[in-house]
Amino acid sequence: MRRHHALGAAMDRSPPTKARAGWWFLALLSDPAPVPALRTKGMLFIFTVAVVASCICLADDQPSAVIAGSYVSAEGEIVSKAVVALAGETIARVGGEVSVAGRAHVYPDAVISPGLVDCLATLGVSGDLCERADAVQPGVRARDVLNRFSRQFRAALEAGVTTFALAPDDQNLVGGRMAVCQTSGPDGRAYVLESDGPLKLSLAPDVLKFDRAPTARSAALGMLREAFDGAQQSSGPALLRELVAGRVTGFFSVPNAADVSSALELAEVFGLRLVLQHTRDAERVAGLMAGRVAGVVVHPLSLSDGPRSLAAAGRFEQRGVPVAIGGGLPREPADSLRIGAAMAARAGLSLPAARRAITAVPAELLGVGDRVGVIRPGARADLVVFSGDPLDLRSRVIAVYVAGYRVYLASPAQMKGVEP
Amino acid sequence: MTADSPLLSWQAARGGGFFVLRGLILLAGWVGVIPPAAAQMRPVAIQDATLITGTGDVVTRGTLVLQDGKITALGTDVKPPFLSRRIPAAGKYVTPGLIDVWSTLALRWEPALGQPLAQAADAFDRYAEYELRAAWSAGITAAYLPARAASGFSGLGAVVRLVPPGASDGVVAKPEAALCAALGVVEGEGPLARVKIMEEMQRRFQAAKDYREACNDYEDALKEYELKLAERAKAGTVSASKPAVGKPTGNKAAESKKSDDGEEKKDELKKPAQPENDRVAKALLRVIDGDLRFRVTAQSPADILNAVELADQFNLALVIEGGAGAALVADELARHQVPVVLTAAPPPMAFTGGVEREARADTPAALQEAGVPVYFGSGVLPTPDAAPNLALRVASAIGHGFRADDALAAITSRAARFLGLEKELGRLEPGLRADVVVWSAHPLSPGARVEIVFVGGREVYRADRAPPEQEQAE
Repeated sequence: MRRHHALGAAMDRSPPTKARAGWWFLALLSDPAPVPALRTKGMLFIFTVAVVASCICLADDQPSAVIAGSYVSAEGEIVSKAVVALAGETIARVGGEVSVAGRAHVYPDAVISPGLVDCLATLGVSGDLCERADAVQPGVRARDVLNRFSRQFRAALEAGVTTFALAPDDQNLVGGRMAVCQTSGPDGRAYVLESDGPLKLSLAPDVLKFDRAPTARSAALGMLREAFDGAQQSSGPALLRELVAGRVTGFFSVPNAADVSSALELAEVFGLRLVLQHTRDAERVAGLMAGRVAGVVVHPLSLSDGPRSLAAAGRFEQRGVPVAIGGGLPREPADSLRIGAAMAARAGLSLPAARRAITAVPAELLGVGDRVGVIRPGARADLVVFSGDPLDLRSRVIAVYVAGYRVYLASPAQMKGVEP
Repeated sequence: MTADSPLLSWQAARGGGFFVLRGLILLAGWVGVIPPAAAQMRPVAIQDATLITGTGDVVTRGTLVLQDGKITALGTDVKPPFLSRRIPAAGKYVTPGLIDVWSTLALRWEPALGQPLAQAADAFDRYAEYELRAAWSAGITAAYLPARAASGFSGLGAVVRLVPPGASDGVVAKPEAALCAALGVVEGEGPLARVKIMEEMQRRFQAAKDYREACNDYEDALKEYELKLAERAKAGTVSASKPAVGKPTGNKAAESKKSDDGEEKKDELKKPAQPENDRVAKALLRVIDGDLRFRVTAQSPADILNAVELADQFNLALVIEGGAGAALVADELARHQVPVVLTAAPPPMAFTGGVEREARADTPAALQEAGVPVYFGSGVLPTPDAAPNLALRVASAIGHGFRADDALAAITSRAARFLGLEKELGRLEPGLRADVVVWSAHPLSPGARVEIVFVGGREVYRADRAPPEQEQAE
């Protein structure tokens, strides 16, 4: 493994990106001005050198393994000795004693975490996600408003967020279909990983604030029942029929304890598979939810939040409800997911559950748990290398990998003050 | 104990030795069920803990003794005193109570314009039990409360100790800790408001200096007047009529009046007029003299520079609060050695307008790098469910480049010195107030929880649930 260490020193210099190498290669081909007098043999030689060089450059960003001091396991534990062997864009093997052929990136004493997953984001939204004409909008697809050219993705990526769900907001009863997106592909651009995500539902007070039906909570529930009823009678939009058949998950925003019990009732009557977004009355409703929902999403936590909000995630965990913590990007700080998990971990959430609450659990609730949010063979190689435990707010992001490519490496200036 | 003595002697008198024995048993039983209030008075010994003294020193497996509201001993070879309550704390960490140097905790304050004499201490709700508990749950035991306003002078900030409601010891540690002001554009007013506020503050400070001059002139004139009066008395030329009393104007005005009134006799003595008592000017003079700090809430770099200019002009002990955009003027702040109290929350990812638009996550690090003294405040706490989570704020600053060695001191010993309370708060040291926090792990490490909080030697908080198992030792 010694040779890997030698390569790890490469961390210090900024790596040539694929784009830059490619540009150089193209420039050589398209601009023959510097080499007009060379014979064909010479041209061939330069061509070969260029190809080899760009291959090396590419390989530099696409290692065959990432090696670090420890990694975050599927259970959320920090396991020492981490070798994550990659096969193209997926993880081939994980463990402490995995032999690796080829180039590896080595980060001594660092922790490899799955890429963070924000299930409550509105990153890179171009335009409004809420159609206000009608409160029931099953035809809305969040993927349609993703602006791939937004600059927000890069900031999120550098904070370790590789996957996010673009969700219609809380202002419609049936908001539309969520999309699961990546903040970066190997080319550095965001893209849609799964356009058929969960269906967004809401009973938040925002639903009632427009000049349209419903204007009362009772009517809101009435309209939902009517819509689900129609779907059960095999009429109405196909998406709602999928929902009542339990094939599509509903992400249901239910701010009050009363909203939670209404949602649970709807789930029982219509056989819905629900994920509830709820924080405020956790101590009262955690027991009710146990076994009846797929999971719960706690709203983003800020550094000023008090004991009640902070204790919510821990309460859900105690009742056995899978809990995810939202990040709320870009309305919250780029570190929002880690801040939320760190805070919940101080108020009763166990450390493994806190690590899973911003990786594996949101990925599962979004229906992409087989691909992202966890380090295990077969999953996509979306990895974040932290200088310490991701839950420790003192830790920094050293590098980010997406589909096996290193798309971000911190500069030496950014790593100042971190012990090697 | 005194309540038992009559019982004991009564029984002894009635039944001899056997009853004495019974009495002793009774007494022993009574000691065993000492009511909680009395138990609080017993010395406390926190044993085998890692003691973070707040000055950078760490004592591993040390014992800390709290007695009569003070820290009386700490070290590795300290014996717990007789009858003390022992708290085994192996694997746990003990720090001084954290000090929040800018917080709106339990502050029932209506922001108002131009009230330099309003006291934030009067607005502190000492019975706000939920908020106090929230603060303790974050390890905070003392806080500086600002007198807030959107702009201009806003009042006198105070330092409070977070003692439980109804406790007899002093809540207010310093009723007049600083003169507060704010620079910045008030919502709904044009950008010219900034110029107006600056001008108004300059005018008030200048007026205060003029007031002092007027007072000095008055005193000189009074002395002169008394001297003359005495001279005349000696010469026996005092007329029977009373000396005329001037109108309450400045000395100069009195003089000019004298010269105007031609008919008045030249030798008639006039008592100089005393300048009207100006409490605002007196408060501002205390700032000019350096008795009071001048704490200015300023977020944008332009406002910060204005505050520095104002402080330069009148030689004020300036503190910048908020400081969202302070990193952009770090060199200027370092040159004037202006401390900055950072209260801005980490900025949202997306650009937002408003005064905090320049906020950056690495502001603490940038200021520290430039040599600016940096302190942390929890800022404006939203109600009703909020807590000053200072330890996490500091951890987050470290994650963005703040030097770790200075981090805990910034919210303990350095904060105490900054507030002028270094003789009683901020360190684990014999003689200081027993404001002490027991943590489940290193305060900055993941999952660290506040388990017990002592304020003035009294246990005020205990985490209600058993702490989760620690996965890794710090």
